Amino acid sequence: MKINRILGYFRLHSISFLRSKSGVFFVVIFPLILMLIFGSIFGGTTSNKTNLIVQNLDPGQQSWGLVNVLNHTDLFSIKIIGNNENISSAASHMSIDQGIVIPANFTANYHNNSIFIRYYHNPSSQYSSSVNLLINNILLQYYGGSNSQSVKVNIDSLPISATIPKPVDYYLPGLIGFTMLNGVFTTIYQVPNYRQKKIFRQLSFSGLTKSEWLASSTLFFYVITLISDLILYVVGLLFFGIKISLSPVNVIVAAITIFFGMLIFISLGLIAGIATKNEETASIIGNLIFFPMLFLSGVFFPTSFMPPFLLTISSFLPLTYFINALNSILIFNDASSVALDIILMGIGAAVLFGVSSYLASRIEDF
Amino acid sequence: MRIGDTVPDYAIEVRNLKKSYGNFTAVNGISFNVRKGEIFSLLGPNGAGKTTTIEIMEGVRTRDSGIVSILGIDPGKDRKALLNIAGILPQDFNFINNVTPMESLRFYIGSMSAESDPMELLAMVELDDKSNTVFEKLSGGQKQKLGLAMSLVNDPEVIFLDEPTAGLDPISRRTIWKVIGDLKKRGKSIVLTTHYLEEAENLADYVSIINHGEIVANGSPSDIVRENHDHDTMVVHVDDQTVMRGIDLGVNYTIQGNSVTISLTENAQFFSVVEKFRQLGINITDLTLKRESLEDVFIRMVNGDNSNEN
Repeated sequence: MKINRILGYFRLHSISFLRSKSGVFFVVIFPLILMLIFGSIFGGTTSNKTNLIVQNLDPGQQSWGLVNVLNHTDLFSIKIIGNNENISSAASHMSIDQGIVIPANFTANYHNNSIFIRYYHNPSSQYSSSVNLLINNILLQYYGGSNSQSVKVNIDSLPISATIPKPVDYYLPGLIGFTMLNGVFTTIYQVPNYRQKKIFRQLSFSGLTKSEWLASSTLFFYVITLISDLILYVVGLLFFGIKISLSPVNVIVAAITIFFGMLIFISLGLIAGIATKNEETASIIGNLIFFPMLFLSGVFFPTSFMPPFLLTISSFLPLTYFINALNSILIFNDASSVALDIILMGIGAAVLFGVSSYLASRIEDF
Repeated sequence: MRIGDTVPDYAIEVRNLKKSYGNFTAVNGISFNVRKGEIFSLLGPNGAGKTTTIEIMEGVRTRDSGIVSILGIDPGKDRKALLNIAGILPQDFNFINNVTPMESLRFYIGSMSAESDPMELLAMVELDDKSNTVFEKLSGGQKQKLGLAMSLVNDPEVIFLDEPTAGLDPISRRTIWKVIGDLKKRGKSIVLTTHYLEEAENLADYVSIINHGEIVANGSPSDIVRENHDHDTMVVHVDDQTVMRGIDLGVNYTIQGNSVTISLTENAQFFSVVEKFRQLGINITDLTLKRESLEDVFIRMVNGDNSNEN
């Protein structure tokens, strides 16, 4: 491999890309437009108020009765978390700024005519006092009104110690994923196009080898993705005050994540592009890869809002792990929690890049 | 070795080359040599095996058997070395749509670590005024000129030109002919495939005609015409065609309007026919003699058409 040939093709590819109106539009301009549209719509609001995290530490019947009551009011979308989870962390990851913790002795207390729960809320939210009042009234109605037994209700209100991101904050990782998906599309089209027009053969006459072409194309997508992501961040920061954690560790871990993501998506594009005979088939395969990932991987909203069956599908999509990892790093400042995501992505990237390299080595005339 | 070659100085040697695609035999044991500094033309109809042969020589395609040597390099084994000494203009040359000729040449120069001046190369093919026009906006002839310039980036010793003027206008074709002629003057060895027999006749020093994967004729264009000569054609225009009825000219002829087309198998027949017209008092208003060309020989060879008209 010769670096001058890799950089030479990188330059040529960059020039060609920058002159391609559709390429620049979909990789740079379109994500920016989405950022501006969604940012304008959701930039000033907080998360959905009806979402409520519930952590039930009590094994008794009464506590689950309370959960059912809250669920049946249709005022809340209940998200139950495990007993060992930290409600603040869960709040951050789910982007929900309120929750209740039912203590372990809830049922026992009920039998002593006194119940108590903790209500965690975002003090900066204008809705938290209303939600507090609402929960209080529901408890009073259920335990103090219709029942023969009169129970004293206590709600301990505590601030949730989590940085609750605004919806617009989520768009940055999502839109970074979106730019990756566009990379898939570009590659899917390029391979059959170059093959049909025998451009691969022509490139080979310059001495450029398949591995150099692959290395150069990968480098190109990495650089263009980083540039596109930087533009998105700057626009998000300037227009909507987007908040992400850019500590040196986070930047390095995010760069590794983006690198693995880019390898996965360029490999997917290559595999699909090499497998297709023409651009028309490439378009169909591109759409089959693009749209499920676009809507089921958390590009536009957190996957935690999805129903269970969609979550199952989502767990098979590589973009889900990519966006989850970027959310944890950039939004929740929790780079240490993404080790598994990065390992899985690294394995996926190695396998897919190996397959795509093997298939690329079999491109005719190159 | 070619007849008359005592000390062979070949740039290219091909021996008993074979290539099949499934059950179809594209090249069936052909052999030929290309001398250094010579323009060698491989002629044949579509599907004859020309492009397969040239692509094997370029290292693009593998061969089933046979020997191929380009200045001592086996293109099937060391393509990297081949690309250092060879320039290639493939059939239907194409390149990346959004880059200019200048950028394309700079990429080639950088990739090949060559020292050419891109502007000089563009001037050589008369494309310097389009140096900053993107590829997709170039005409067919301009694209082909760029392909030729790109094939010359590394100042190659051997140049493969696969139908370099196909579909071009006469002016572009002449430009490319001029460049090919200049390359020959600089001692370059050139392999040229073409559909235009006139092109081969004008440019080539040596020609091989290939049909159904086999070479059916070898030699200089004039040798091939001479050795395979069948007849020349004499066209005579007369005042009145009715006077021609029933006349025996001693040769085959056909009449169309006032025009008489006469087939001459020997040079002496020309004079005897003119004398016959004089004796019969037929007034000749115009006379042209068309010698058999490489194209005529080629068409007859590949079609197996040796019939005489009458």
